Amino acid sequence: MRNRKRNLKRMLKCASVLPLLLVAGCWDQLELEEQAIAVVIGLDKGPGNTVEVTFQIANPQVGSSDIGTAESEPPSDTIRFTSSDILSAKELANTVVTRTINFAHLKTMIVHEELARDEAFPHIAGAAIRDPEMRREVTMIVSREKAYDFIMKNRPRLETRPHKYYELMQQRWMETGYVPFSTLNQYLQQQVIDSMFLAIYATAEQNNHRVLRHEDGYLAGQVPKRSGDPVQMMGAAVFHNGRMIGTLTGQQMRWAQMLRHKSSVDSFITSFTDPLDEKAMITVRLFKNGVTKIRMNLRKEEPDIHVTLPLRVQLLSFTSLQPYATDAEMQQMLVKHLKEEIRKEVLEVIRLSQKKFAGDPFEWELIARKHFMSMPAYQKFSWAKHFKKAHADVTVDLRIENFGKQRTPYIESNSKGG
Amino acid sequence: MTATTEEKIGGREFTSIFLIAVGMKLSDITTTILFESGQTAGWMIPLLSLGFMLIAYVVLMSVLKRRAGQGLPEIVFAIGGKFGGSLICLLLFAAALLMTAVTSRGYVDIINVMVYQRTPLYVLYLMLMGVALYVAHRGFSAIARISWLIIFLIEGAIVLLVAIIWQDIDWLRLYPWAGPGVLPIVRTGLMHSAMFGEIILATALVPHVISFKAFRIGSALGFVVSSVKISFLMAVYVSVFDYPEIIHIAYPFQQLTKNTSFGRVFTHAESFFIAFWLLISVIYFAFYIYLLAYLFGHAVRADNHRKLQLPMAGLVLLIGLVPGNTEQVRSYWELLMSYSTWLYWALPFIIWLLDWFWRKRHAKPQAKPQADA
Repeated sequence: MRNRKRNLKRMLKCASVLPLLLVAGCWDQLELEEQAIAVVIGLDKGPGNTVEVTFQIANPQVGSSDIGTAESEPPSDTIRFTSSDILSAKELANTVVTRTINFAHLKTMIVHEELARDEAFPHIAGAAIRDPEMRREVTMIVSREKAYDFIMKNRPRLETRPHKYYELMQQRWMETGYVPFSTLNQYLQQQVIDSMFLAIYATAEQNNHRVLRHEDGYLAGQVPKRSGDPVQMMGAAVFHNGRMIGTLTGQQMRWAQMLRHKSSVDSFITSFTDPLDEKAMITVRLFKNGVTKIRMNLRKEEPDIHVTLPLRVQLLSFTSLQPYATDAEMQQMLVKHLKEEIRKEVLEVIRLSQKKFAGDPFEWELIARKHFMSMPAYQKFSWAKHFKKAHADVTVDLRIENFGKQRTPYIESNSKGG
Repeated sequence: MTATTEEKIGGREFTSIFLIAVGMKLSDITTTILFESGQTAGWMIPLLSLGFMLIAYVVLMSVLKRRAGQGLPEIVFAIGGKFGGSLICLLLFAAALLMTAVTSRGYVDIINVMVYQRTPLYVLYLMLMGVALYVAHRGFSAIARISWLIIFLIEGAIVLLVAIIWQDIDWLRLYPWAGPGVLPIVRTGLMHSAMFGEIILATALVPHVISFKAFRIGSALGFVVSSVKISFLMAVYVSVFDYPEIIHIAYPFQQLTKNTSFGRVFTHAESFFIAFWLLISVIYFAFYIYLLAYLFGHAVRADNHRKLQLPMAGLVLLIGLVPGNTEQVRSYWELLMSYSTWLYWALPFIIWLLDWFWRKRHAKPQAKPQADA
């Protein structure tokens, strides 16, 4: 009898706990069916102190097995609202969109160059991050035209779903190093006084392109290509104190990344002129061989910075068809030539950032911080001011690793060193 | 008293309670406040604070060692008399009560800001306290056993978190190593040593532990490991978010978990971590409610301190709802920290002095009968 009573008591307890599963979420309960998932947002400058916010809302039915019920629906819908900030635009969007706009899967933010250059931009970006749904990992892309146009024009043929497009592109950015890997987190980190930030530069408009000898010396919009998706991502938008002040080409961007002590890119393919043949080019794959060593002497008014860039090279192709692989002398010459070329290009990037941007996009401030014991002392020192005047020198440490899978070229060149 | 009838717990269970209850501070407003004054050297503060607190702890232990098997309340009643004992117990109780109220409010704020924005604060608070009360009511050994059960899961989750965030870490961001300077850091460390005030409060629970040795090792190990853990995680926060961005961030732990993903498929790993976090916060407050009822029960010499748990939980909730917003919670926290630091510092010395007087007084009468015989 007592046992039965106890059992009954236990069952009652269980019964009172079970309904808890149904009330999960309380006031914040979300119905999956009632969510509109924004995957891309675009920011443009609106009239007065407003922003034009573009939402690209994914259609989760496309690309799933549920497509049968939504055959004529597009993979995504794009709408633009003008509002005082991103969050109020989110609410305003519900005048049109039937479902609650959700930022939980927001991965990409596209900012119009004009807005990025505007003094209001740090405020807009800084305010947006307050929303807990807004993730710090959101990728930031600066577009040359209006973000709305960029999103509208971006219709990749092979990727129907927009989130997949950016997800895959992100992997390619990591591989090529043409663009920086820029997130909102990094932007906010480097929004402080005299700090630099590099963001992805992109455009959906092709403008007059001239073919360069170096295939990576382009900026978005200049890449020589025909047909395909109009969007190009190449080079970087340079931010100073949270505002955009200039651009870097793909090549400059790559070196800027290599100069950082911890870079997100550690190998890429690029080309140099052939030391033996004026017209010919050498294509190599460069690897960062360990960490970039940066030494500084901050005692002087014009500090010395010495950078050692350790590189490993795989020779992929050389149109001169010289027997580099088998000739040790030629190899030495080639190594020397590559070192000089790289040094020249790297020094140019450093000089550019010292003169044109007057700031340090290489995150060398972290190294400079090491020389100080306390934050007040470092802040008093003012790294940005000293960086401008610094004497930077670069040593390239280079080693040719291999020459591809062909040893000797097909055509035997007529003379050695010719 | 029920305390004596309750099952005694072993050293490992006791250790894991502190690993959870103290280690929990790595995820709440404590870290945020420490960064504000500690800047890039914020990670040193927990280590310094514990170092300072350990001095007081050693003094207290010297008294406890002489009276093995007795908890803090029993000892203060023995050496301080009824009035002194009640006063000290009530003081400790007041400090612990206010601390629990402010901390729990901080937790509810985190849940409110980061997860459930539309749910009213008091509902969240009520639920947290309700569940914590339920666990506390099971008794101290239940809390200890649960802690021991999940401790490896919790530590595993933290290791996992650091592992998946590893690529975002740049240790160079910890420079300049002294932050605002050596002196300010030491001062902040000293002023915030009440952060580890639990180490003093914990001595109330000696009778619950199987042996005095287990208590000593358990509490020391629990606190040292926890402070190292907090300090390490704080270093991770700075090296991921960088200074000065770190002082703009309200809840670094929660923001850190928001940045994590398991590969490319599971991109929202924070829900995984928040589950663990909620679980341990329940244990954390269950422990506190138990401790509050225990201290108060001893202070007023109530027979059954378990019956006091419900009013304690209610009191915590009422006090916790007083601050108007999240920033007020911070300022109350700061205020409380600096005052209770004095309390936790002074008490061990007062107790030691009382004990010394007591021994002087009792040494003679004890010696006399021997002489007579």
